[in-house]
Amino acid sequence: MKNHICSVAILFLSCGISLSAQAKGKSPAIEQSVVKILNAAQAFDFSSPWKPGNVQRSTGTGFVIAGNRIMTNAHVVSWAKRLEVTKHNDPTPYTADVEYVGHDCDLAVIKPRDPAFFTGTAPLPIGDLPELRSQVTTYGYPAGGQTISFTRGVVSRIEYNLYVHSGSVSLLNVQTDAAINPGNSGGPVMQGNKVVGVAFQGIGSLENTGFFIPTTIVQHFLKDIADGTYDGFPDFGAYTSELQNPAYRNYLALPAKHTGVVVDTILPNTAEAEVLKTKDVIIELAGRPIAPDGTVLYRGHRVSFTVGIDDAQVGEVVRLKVWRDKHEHNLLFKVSRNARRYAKFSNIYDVQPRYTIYAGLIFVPLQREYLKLFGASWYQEADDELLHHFWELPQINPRADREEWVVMSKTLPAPINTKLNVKGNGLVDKINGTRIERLEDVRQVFSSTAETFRIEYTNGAVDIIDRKQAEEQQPQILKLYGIGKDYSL
Amino acid sequence: MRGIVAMRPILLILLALFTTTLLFAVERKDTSFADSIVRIEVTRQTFNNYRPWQRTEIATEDGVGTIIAGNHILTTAQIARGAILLKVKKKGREIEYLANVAYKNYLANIALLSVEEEAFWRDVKPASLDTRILHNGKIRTPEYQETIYREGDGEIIQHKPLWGTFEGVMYPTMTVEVKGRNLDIGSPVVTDNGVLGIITARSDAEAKVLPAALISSILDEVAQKREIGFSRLGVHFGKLSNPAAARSAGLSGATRGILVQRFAQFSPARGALQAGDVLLKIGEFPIDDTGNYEDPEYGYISFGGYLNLPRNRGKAIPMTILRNGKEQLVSIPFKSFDYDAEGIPLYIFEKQAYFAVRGGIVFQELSVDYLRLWDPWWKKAPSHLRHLLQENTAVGDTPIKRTVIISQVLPDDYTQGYEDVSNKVVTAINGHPINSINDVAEAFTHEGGFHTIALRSPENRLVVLDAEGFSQAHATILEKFGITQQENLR
Repeated sequence: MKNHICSVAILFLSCGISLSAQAKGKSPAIEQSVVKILNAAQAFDFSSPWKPGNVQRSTGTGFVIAGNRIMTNAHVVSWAKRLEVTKHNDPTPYTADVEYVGHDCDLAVIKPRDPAFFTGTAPLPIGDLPELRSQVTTYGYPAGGQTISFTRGVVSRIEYNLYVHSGSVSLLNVQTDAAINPGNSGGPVMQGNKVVGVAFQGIGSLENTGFFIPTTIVQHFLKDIADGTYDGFPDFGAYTSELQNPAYRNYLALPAKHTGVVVDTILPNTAEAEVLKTKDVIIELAGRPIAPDGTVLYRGHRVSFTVGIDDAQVGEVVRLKVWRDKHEHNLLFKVSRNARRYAKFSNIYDVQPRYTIYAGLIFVPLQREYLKLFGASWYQEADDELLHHFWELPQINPRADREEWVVMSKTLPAPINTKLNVKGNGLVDKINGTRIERLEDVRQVFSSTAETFRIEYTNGAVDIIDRKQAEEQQPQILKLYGIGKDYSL
Repeated sequence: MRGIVAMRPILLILLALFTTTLLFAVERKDTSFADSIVRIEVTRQTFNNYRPWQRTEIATEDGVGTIIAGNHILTTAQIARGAILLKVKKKGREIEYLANVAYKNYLANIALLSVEEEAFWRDVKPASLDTRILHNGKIRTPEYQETIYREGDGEIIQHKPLWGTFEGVMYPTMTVEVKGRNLDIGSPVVTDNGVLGIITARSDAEAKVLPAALISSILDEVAQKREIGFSRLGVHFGKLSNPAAARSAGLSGATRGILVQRFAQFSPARGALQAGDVLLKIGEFPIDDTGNYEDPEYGYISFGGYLNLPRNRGKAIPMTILRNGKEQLVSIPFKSFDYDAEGIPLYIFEKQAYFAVRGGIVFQELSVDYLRLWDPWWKKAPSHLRHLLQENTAVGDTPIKRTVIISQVLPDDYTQGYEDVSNKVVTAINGHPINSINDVAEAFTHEGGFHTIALRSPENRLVVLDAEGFSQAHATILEKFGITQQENLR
């Protein structure tokens, strides 16, 4: 669960002020392989989930990789209705399509429809994790400028950080003092003639800091898509805490030679639930000993112990060493990824929001995208009842959590619903006695032939809807509010 | 002649007396409050809710009071809250007199001040109270602007039960339109008959006024030492406006009544009412499907407003309900609301928070006053603590179950690794459930092995301390952080 943290609004995706610094002695071949991407995007309006929003144009950068593909950031190509790519010193636009996109790691590969696009370009080779203090050069088209721009800097830090595109996933990233600005996104960060990262985000409050996605993540993404589908990074279905206090170590009878993290809460129905037990001390993961602060030494850098899970592909087996009942145990577990949990905590792209409408009541899953409607500080200022079920309940009592909670988000006023108690932001517990475990259940229950539907909300509020009236009014409601389809599941 | 001469002085004296009286009457009408209103300066200091062993910074505030019979100054409890020094000034002058709080009632938001110095009571005039229940009409607002006494005009907008300043309970309150510049909290609104009420809140031209009828009944109760208090039903209800909902609740015909859903911890209705009951009448008055009824004295008001109307306060509440399809009468006892009877009190007022520092860990009973450390608390305070207020109302434990949190961990070798534990709810210590701060104080008794503190979230999260080194670490940490008081228990 370490991936699921609340994003703080200090990080920004690199879309902002332009900066062009002419680099000296650049290789023409590299320049030729760095392309500008124009995205005409149309996202959905999550408050009216049947409604596509305005078409917005933005630009980013990409670079040619092996296999006649262009690599870029997921956020550069999100919600694309049309993508165009242009090469350095060549104004011809080429139409391209998204081939694979990893919103969790903010990477994508796109493919121009015309193979002639690649004439005069060479795939850029992917290098390794750069050394601290070593020099890097970014290539890109910041602020949508027509010509390529370069910035140079050093590798300042290599650590775990939030990837703001997903808003929920923390992965390894590299900090540099080379300027990374809007439009730079998706551009290669080069060392010699090799790509050592993909520029992707910055921090508004800090000067001279930009972040790029290291090649360990890039390679993970490329390996993942090799079989033709993108599965994403595995997650970790347990809450752990640091084991710094000597008394706690003694309490667990942990020998001096071991350090690690203690397992507090294990999420049900996960691979972790099959192998881990509460109060296990995870002392090693993927062969790396875990320090009392929950870090491991990874290629010379102290990073979160979950790097061992992130390194694996979904379905691969990872080795664990735990201290349990005063003994060491070697365990194996198959890493997995819970798509519903990812969708709950993350920003969502490229797919229409899910909803179902009955009697003018709009039901949606309790997800980050819905809570974001409460404003920039949604994680603090949204209704307590919603935040409780979103953040706290899975930690207090994970067995009482549901596959997804369903919210009656708002009401489209109509005669049938004007006198209901709950008009919006109501968390649904049961309908006609059926526990609502997922959005699909709502549609299922409403399709029954009961005379009335009794909706029970988690806060104790109850509303009753007459089925005959609801069915009579549904077509008028949809017509009145211009809704083509009463659900998207 | 002698007689005539002798008569003159008497006539003169009589004439003089007559003229003086006449002049006096012209200058100062009987209805003036110039000698009745006083300015109050309060110096206030309460407890720091984050470091509850410390007091807050000193602050001062101005208010207004009215001299009433019995050598008392009438003002609001809000003005007297946390007062360490009270000074009063009369007639718009600078001379200060020290005052003390003689009586304070947060539910009604009234306070009485007393002044020992005899000089204060010279040349002052106790104001009488106008206890009429008025719903409209003109009022006046006496005030001092520097040394000049003025009266502004105003008008009553409405008079009906509203939530009191400190939430908690509902009772009749006037809303008036006012104009005065210096109408601070406590200022009286008056008629020719006396003080009609005192201002408890003001925003621009609108003020909330505690009516004299209510003040007068409280003062009588205080004098007779039999305070009735103010009740709150503590029932969460749902509306039955929707015909489908009304039918499902067993009602036929026109929609009416409201549906009982759950009870607050302190609710006097437990036992008398059940979830699923439909409240049809309060007293003899039918409750409509929005929870309101037509009151003969106060008009169209919320049914909860019935409880503390002057004619009802202190009496059992008769209700007609629909249960299992049958109408029946129930009686709910009148029970005065007590802030401390809620598991997480809305206010602890100027009291010190209940806390205990043990082994570098600061344990505290959660109150809304603690959440007020964040502003505005209902938006900014940790949402998991805010949510406890809702969970709190869902249970009915006796004795009242308190929520104990670790507010902070004081950094030390002994507490190393637990620095991130803050605002976490404690469920058990050494296996004993924690339902009040006293449970915490009693939990760290054994000397060998470990002390284990279980947190509510994440599930199974423990804070483990070395029991053997506990006493010494405890003393060292208190010393190190300058904590001179280690606990405030119930």
